[in-house]
Amino acid sequence: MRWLLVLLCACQVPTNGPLEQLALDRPFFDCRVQPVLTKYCSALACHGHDQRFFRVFARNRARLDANETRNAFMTSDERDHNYAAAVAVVDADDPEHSSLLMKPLDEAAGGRFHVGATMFGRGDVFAAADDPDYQLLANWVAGATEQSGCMEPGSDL
Amino acid sequence: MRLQLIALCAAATAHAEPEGETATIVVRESGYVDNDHTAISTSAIAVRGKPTEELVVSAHYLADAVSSASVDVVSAATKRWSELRSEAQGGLAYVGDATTLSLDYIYSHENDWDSHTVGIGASRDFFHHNLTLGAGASYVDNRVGRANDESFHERLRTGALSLRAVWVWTQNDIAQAEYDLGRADGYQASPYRYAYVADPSGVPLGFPEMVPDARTRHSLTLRWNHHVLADAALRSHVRGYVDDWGLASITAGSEFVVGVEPFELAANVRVYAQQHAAFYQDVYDMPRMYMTADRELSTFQDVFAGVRARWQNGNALSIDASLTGFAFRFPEFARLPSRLGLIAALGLVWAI
Repeated sequence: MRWLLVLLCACQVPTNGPLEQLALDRPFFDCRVQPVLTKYCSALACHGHDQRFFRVFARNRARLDANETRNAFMTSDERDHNYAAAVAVVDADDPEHSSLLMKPLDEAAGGRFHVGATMFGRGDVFAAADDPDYQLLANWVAGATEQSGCMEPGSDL
Repeated sequence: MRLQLIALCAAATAHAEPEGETATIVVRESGYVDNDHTAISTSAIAVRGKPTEELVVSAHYLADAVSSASVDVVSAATKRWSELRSEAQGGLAYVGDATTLSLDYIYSHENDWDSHTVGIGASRDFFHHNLTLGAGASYVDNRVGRANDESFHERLRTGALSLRAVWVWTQNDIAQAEYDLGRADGYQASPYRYAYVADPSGVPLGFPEMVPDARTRHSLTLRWNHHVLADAALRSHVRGYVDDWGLASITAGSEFVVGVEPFELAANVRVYAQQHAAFYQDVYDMPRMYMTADRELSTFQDVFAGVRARWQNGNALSIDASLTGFAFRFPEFARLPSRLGLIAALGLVWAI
């Protein structure tokens, strides 16, 4: 049926191949980026909420398994998910303007509207791009790498 | 949704044009509400005048006040938003004995979208006005932005061509066939929507929506108006649509109109069924080049049913009111499997 319609349409339905994504460094993410997500993003009211398109999990924050002890160490499933979720909001064609960098940066500093900036009356996560934690995100997106096995402080790995 | 409201306004203007008058003013207020936490109030004023026997000038201004906290809004980490959309139109037409020519311009503005539309049309009657052949074309230049993001600038250009034939078949029947071709080039995604991709953790990943830059559309519409009884008519239509995104749909509708002086009463129903775009998935199996969270690219069905009434005082004044209920079923969109709503409209037409 579809092919008949396409024939009538005299034009070709676009093929839908895999999306090319940046191969961002996993050790740098586990070691440097995850602590930033834990600190600023994964609260239950924020990106731990199940209605957000960008969900991240962390110790003492939202957990992948609702029955997990809140302060238990992060599971490998949670780490894998957080890495994939962060890569998903990195624009391979224009990494510097990825949502991962633009949303938490204050609009006055060149960022993009983020409801998180309005929730607590304290502005966006990062007031300026020179914030050291923001720089960790920016460096990761720019291709920074870390030694294999590097893991965030306080983890069980 | 907005097009439906505009169509309501345009239809009322067209229906309410008394013969022999030199100017008509239409004021209209419409309200839309659905169970996806969206409400729209539309106010419109339209004027139409005949400075000479063969020249018609027209203009309208329309404002939509929109308030929404739909599933798209909530998942994009954005609060309920409200905005005002404005549209202004100006038109010029030559209406000769057997020939009509028209030229229209529309400017539309909202906080994240600007568009300029130019349309032309021509038609000619043959066989003692029993056959009318017409053609039209339009071009729209859209500037797409993103609220609170000065760095986001995209463009969408669309063009359309239409061919139409209207045939007065018998004393009681008028048939019409229309073919429409449309082409859109540019940014056609929503900067606010995120598509979901399955993840082994069981919690899907959100990716910015991405759709092809080009889209070619074809549609064929057949209409039949059949006069029955002393002063009643059955107006029916069927429309088939295909495009090169793999989307196909069919629409069928009918309205029964009866005149009971000084009232015109009508009841109508319209059904629609659509097969999804080729690249649509509710939750994608893997990250793909094209991913959308637009439920209107999924397989869905809808039905609209309504009533309307018009009271006319000679040729000078008429008041009309309508109430339409609708139901959408989205079997492939788990975040909103159905949508129910109402559209109400009230209009006043004054001929000078």
